[in-house]
Amino acid sequence: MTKAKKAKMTPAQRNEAVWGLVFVAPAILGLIILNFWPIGNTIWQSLHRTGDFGLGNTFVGLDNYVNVCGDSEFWQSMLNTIKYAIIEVPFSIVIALILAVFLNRKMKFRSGYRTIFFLPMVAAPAAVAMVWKWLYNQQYGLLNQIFDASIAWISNPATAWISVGIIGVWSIIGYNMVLFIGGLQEIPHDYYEAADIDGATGIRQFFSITVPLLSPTTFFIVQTRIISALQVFDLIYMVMDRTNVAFSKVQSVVMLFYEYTFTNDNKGYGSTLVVMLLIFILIITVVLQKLEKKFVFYN
Amino acid sequence: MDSVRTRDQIIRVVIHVILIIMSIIMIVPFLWMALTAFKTVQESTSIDPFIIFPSEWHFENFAIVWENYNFLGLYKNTLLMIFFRVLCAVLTATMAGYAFGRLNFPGKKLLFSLVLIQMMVPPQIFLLPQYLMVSNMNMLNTTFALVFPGLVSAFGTYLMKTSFQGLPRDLEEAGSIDGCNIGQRFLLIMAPLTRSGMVSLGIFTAVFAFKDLMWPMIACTRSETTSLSAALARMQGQFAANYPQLMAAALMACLPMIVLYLIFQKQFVEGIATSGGKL
Amino acid sequence: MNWFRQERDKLRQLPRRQRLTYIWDYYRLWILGLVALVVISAYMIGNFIHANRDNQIYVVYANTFTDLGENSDFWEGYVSFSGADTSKENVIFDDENYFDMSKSSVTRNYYYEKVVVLIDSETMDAIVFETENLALLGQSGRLMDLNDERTRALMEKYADRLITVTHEDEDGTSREIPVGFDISDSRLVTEEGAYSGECALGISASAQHIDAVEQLLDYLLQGA
Repeated sequence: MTKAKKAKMTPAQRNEAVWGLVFVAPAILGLIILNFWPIGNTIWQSLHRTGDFGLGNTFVGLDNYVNVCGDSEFWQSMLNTIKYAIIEVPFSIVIALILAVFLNRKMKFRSGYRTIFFLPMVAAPAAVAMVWKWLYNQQYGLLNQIFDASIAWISNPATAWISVGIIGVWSIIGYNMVLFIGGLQEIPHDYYEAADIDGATGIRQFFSITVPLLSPTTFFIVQTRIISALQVFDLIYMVMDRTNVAFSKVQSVVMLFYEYTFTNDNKGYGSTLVVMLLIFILIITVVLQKLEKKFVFYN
Repeated sequence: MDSVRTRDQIIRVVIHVILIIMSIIMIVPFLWMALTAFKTVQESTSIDPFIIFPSEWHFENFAIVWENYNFLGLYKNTLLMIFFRVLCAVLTATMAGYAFGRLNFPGKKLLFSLVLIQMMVPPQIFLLPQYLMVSNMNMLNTTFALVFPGLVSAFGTYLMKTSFQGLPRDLEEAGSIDGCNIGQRFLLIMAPLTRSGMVSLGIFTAVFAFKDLMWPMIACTRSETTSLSAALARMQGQFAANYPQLMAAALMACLPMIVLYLIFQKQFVEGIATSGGKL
Repeated sequence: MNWFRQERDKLRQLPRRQRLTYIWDYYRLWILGLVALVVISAYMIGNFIHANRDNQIYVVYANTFTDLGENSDFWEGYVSFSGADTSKENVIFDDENYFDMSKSSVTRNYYYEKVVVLIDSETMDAIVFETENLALLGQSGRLMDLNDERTRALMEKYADRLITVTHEDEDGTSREIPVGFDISDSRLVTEEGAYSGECALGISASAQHIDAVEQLLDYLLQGA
């Protein structure tokens, strides 16, 4: 089959194929060495039970998978992770898009604003953790002082996921904004000039030019954001103590993986969690790639 | 005409108000970090939320941290790590992104799914195997070790693919009529047009490299070879309670990043001046 | 190669100065890339020549603020005691680890993750820790069960210093497992003052240099 295909290639196509393979070679080789060997290793681990006290691993087949599927803690963490993504992804993208569109036009303090929105990305995680804990504190936290309330922001099991999601939105906006600005800059100017001549207003220009021409970037951000939101870890870890009553309602899959792999030394089970998460994200990605053809506009 | 101008002005004011509110929200932890660096230990742990400014500005926190840690060496290590990671990521990702976005070759879909899958697993699983690789190469405690996990970037490859896909088709056709081969078309026509994409990728790679803490801590255990964030984590171990000094150190650590960002973001070019048709 | 001939012909027609600017304008990326490649490979080769050797021992000292690392008195003492030839093999005393097994800290236990990687990669041989923390680390199964044949002789030698943890097997029976040696009276406490209270030494479940660990124990407990 492949041979028949190859025979049908014109010289130009063959030329293109050679260039294509040469161009992807460094990246793909690097990925295989740096990342795919470890991933294969993880899949292999997931078929084993980890031995303690210097004993070797024992092959257990799919036992770990059967156990994970029957583990209510896993399903709870899966639900927590999805809930987190539902808050983080849409809000961080919409807010970042609006900010990027504002900051893409010529205006005063543009560099200043762009820098301020970039700052959370380089602030020390310890500072970020302290500030959010201080904002959310029930007795003397700033939020409760301002609203004159005593809301248990992060220790109420029913609402803690929203509070955690807000931190997520806050810390991701800057990243998305940088990407949107990059995408906006690549839209040729004369589209807007033509629209100006036609007398289209700013809002109409936004929907008729910016949105379609930015759709590849937007799709990219949606895709990568979903992938990384489903792997949320540090962000929750830094404000939620293990003793927090709401902990089990915000614990994400990767946190559970971390718990098993590092704290409990049950690598086999931890690896199984990673593989399950990978399968879940893969399914979502396939669906998204199908949607891409419908909604994304390429030149 | 006048009403149009007032409408424009109102819009401008509204935009500024929105941006200012957002700025305040985004800058709070950073300000807290900066202000804490000037406080005394007692002030920094006070539970009163309205002790925002230090009663006296203590600059000596910076001096103490600067004297106790070899900041110049740490800056050097970190900047080298960032430089090489950005170079490698932008180089490999731009090439691969062009191929994925613009060329047809066998196995394209399969290879691209590898790129996506890399992003779908938690990075912790890479630690041990990558440590073993560097350790077997006898490269622990070197700049190469710091750079190693950032030699390629799956995220960057995907980003650059998107960048190339967004470019008008006819540009490239013009190039092929001029007799350029694919390599020249990439280098001379297409790659320069994705500069904004490269800048975004550069910023991201730099930030991730700067924030990467786990890897430098494991691969470079000696304080003369490690990176800023790993050294900061060490300070956290040593001065767990001394927030002012910790924050002074953190502030000094992120200053070069802010400078880098200011330089980088100027490189966001103002769109391509002409669309394909006129070239 | 057609292209190469073309370019060569083009260059021949140009005067020298323009030839250089032409090359620079059209090929600067390639040139810079090539230069970078050469520099990087030279650097890698240089590193390789000065590469590290195998470890004689790798010990993690957790939660101490005393300098026990390379070239400290303590380190020198061990090197001369064990007769390790540091020009051929490394003696690594890693004293930059701060973590507490009993509580989850504000951020992740980065140092704990590091130690786990050191254990799983068969790098670390032994760890010195506060006794309470060592027991907790032992609970996770990452330290060697000293009943193991590799360490049985060592266990019997220091039988009066054993630290045991209670481990529950999968069938529900619990048993006592020795995971470390009490070294609260060792030179680390008495001479170096590295630990104020009780401390203990555990052997990694994947230790590769158990003979060296024995030498270290002998050195630590010399005169105690």
